[in-house]
Amino acid sequence: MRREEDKYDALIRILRKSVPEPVDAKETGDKVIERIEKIKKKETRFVNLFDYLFGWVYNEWLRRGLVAASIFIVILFAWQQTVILKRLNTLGSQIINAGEMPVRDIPDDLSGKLLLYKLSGRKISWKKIQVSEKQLEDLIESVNEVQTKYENLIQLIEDDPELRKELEKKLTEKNRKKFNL
Amino acid sequence: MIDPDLIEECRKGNLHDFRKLIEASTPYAFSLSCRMLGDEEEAKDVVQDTMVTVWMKINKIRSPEVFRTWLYKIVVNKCYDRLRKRTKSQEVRADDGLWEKISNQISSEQVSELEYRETERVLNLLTERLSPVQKAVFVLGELEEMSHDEISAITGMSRSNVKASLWHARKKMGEMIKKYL
Repeated sequence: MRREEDKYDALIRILRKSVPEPVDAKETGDKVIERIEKIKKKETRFVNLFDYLFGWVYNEWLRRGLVAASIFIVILFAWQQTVILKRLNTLGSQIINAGEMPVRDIPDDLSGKLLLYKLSGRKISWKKIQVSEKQLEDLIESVNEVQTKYENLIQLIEDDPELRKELEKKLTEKNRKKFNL
Repeated sequence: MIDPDLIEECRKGNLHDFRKLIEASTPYAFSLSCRMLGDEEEAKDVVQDTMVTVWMKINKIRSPEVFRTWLYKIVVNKCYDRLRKRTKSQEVRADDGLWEKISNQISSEQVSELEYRETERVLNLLTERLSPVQKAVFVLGELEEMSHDEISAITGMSRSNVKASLWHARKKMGEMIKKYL
């Protein structure tokens, strides 16, 4: 082990003694200065371009004007925001009942009342549609009339086979059309 | 020792004095980079890059007294970058004749210096298993003979880490010596 350490120390002494050949410091200096000059030139070019583009900001009156304009824009923005908020609040307070507008005019005749009841999806209260005794009698009478007419029609169709056939044909066509749709 | 007034002048932007500073500090920077990289041409490039960085950041150093440590810090960092970029294929092999020559020198107990090209090859081979950090600590501690505190200031490592890295470096170097000598 001792021998390994001695070898190590001896080798380190040799390596310490072997120094690299001194580099030409003057040449290094020239190269470094040349690189620095190039960097400086680049920086100067950038500064010149920057001054050309934004040099006008150094004008005193222009700067003051810009400050005033920016303050004005900020105030305008704040005012606009306030107005918008106010309008939003006003709109928010208004109740919109689209689709549920109250029905003011209820028709007098029974068929009109029934149509209104049907169209409203049976939402209108019966209390709002008042029916008189006469209107009720008329309704019963018309229903009876329809019933009689219907029975007569059925009898007529049964008595005439040709009519029946024709009707069945029409109904079949009608059903097919419905199906196709 | 570099004159603090020279550094002060450079901080003021005096390029003429900076050339003097380059000439004064190039030998230190070159010696360290050469030992770390084991390649003279690459070491010259590192010195130039270092000097350009010094010019650009010389205002940031706290006082002229810390200049040397700061310079070494920049060199070490630039060397780290180059060592990390190196591929494994760049491994160097030393011929048997060179090992024989070193063995003879060690056994004769008469330490003489090697040609620097030979030193480069020996260093590259012995330190190929060291990480960039271990290599930096080894070169600074063993070859540049710096104290642990100085190494700690240059590498930014704690004192105990420096000690540990140096111990690992010595161990790995010992294995290499055992293998070749």
